[in-house]
Amino acid sequence: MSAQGNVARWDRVTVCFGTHRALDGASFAVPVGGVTALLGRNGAGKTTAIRTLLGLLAPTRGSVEVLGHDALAVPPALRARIGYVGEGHPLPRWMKVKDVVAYQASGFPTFDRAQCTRWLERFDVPRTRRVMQLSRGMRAQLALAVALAPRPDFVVMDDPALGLDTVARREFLEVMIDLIQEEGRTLLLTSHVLTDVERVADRVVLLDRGVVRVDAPLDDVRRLVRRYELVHAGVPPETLEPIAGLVRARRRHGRWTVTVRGEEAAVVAAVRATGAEVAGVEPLSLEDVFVEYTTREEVLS
Amino acid sequence: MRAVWWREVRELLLPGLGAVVALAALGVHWAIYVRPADRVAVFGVVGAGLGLFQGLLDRRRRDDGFFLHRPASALVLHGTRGLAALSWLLLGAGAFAAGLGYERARWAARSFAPASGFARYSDILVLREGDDAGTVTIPVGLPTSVLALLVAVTWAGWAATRFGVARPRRLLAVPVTGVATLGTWSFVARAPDAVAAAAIAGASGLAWAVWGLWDLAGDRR
Repeated sequence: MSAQGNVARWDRVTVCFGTHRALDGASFAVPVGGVTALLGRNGAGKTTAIRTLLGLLAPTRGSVEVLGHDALAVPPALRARIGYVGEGHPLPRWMKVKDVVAYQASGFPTFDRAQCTRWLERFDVPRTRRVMQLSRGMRAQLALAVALAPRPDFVVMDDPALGLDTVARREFLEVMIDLIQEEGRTLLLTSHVLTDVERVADRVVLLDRGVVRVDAPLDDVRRLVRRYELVHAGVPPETLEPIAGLVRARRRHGRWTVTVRGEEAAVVAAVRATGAEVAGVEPLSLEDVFVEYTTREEVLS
Repeated sequence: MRAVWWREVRELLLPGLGAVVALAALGVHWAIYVRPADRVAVFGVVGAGLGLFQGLLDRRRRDDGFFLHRPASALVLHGTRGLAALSWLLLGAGAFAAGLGYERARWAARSFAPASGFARYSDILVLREGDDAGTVTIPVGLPTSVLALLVAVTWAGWAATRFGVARPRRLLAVPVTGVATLGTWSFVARAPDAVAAAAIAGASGLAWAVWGLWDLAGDRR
């Protein structure tokens, strides 16, 4: 772990693919313990961030640290302390389940075969079947089992629930919660299922077109980001005066609605300073917050 | 690393089998008429093909985290992959030698065949060619030392392509590697004797291997 108590840290990381910037000066960190969710729309840079973390991709600019080392020079012993479940649970399709287990066990010195077997039995994954013959749910559980069996300190999951039905996703979540409850373990995950994220995460990082828009505890995000309905004396103005923490502003049916991040009293005072009054305040779910931050149109901040 | 080696051998099953079958067939058809330099250069081409295939596998990198996120250095991981490709090439060399031996044994049995039909013959054993209108020389099999040389240079061709395609300028790396492989063999073919040929091939293989190792310095996967 680094001196700042972070398992991983991105420092002004830019990753370019040709002229496209997948990450654009992104800086954020994953603190020790708990669950950090990396959120964003498709193409926001989540998978790119994870690939730089695992040393699978070199940043064009900036640096990434994991477990106190440059991500491009992680010693094998430290790498063994990182578990990884890739997007879509990619495993060699021709391997049998028992071969996948043996393959992982041969590389990770701390691989716990007994635990892995227990998980596979719990998920009803047949050991003699080939990966290509497994359902998506079973493949996900297999990927999870072999990633967790080495008992890693830091687990990275790239959209682990992708393609799973509700029941399989719920089972997946249960395992994740078990994992979190084990002392000292840190989890970084990306997901598009924000209800799942709300259940397990205690910190969120929101990426939008490669830029970090939010990096805060989940409770802070839910408490501080709210939607305010404004009323103006007379005809509402065509444009709004700047409001500190403004996320999004829309004008509908002759009224302005703004989404602002900040303490409610401070936001109300800031709104009054622009000559308007707050007619209503609406708390937002994480999904609402996500939409407010990432919707392309009418974003003023 | 046996598991990584076996996985890679299995991943290369289709192109590997294709290479073995193609080399066996070439061993038969090129046993008599084709110059040794050309005959051996095909190993470079096949090796480069395997390297290119592995490079193309790498382009599916989003799917490769399961393999690449492993507590081993990148050098060991990719070196083991190289050994897997080399294993297929060794199998292909065996198939080629078997095809060569089979065809030459067949011609030896027909010793009454008109020698003038073979104005050019080749002796792969000493990497030399000759022109003997009156006699047909029929070597059988390949000695270990020549096989080792052949494999070493082929591996160098593979390594150059493999590491080349992994680098940012993949499209440039492939033709450069192809030209370098064939160019090396043209020098080998023109060498005055087997020792000089081995020296050229060895120096070339060493240079390419150093390039590959330099490319994999650090832990970038």
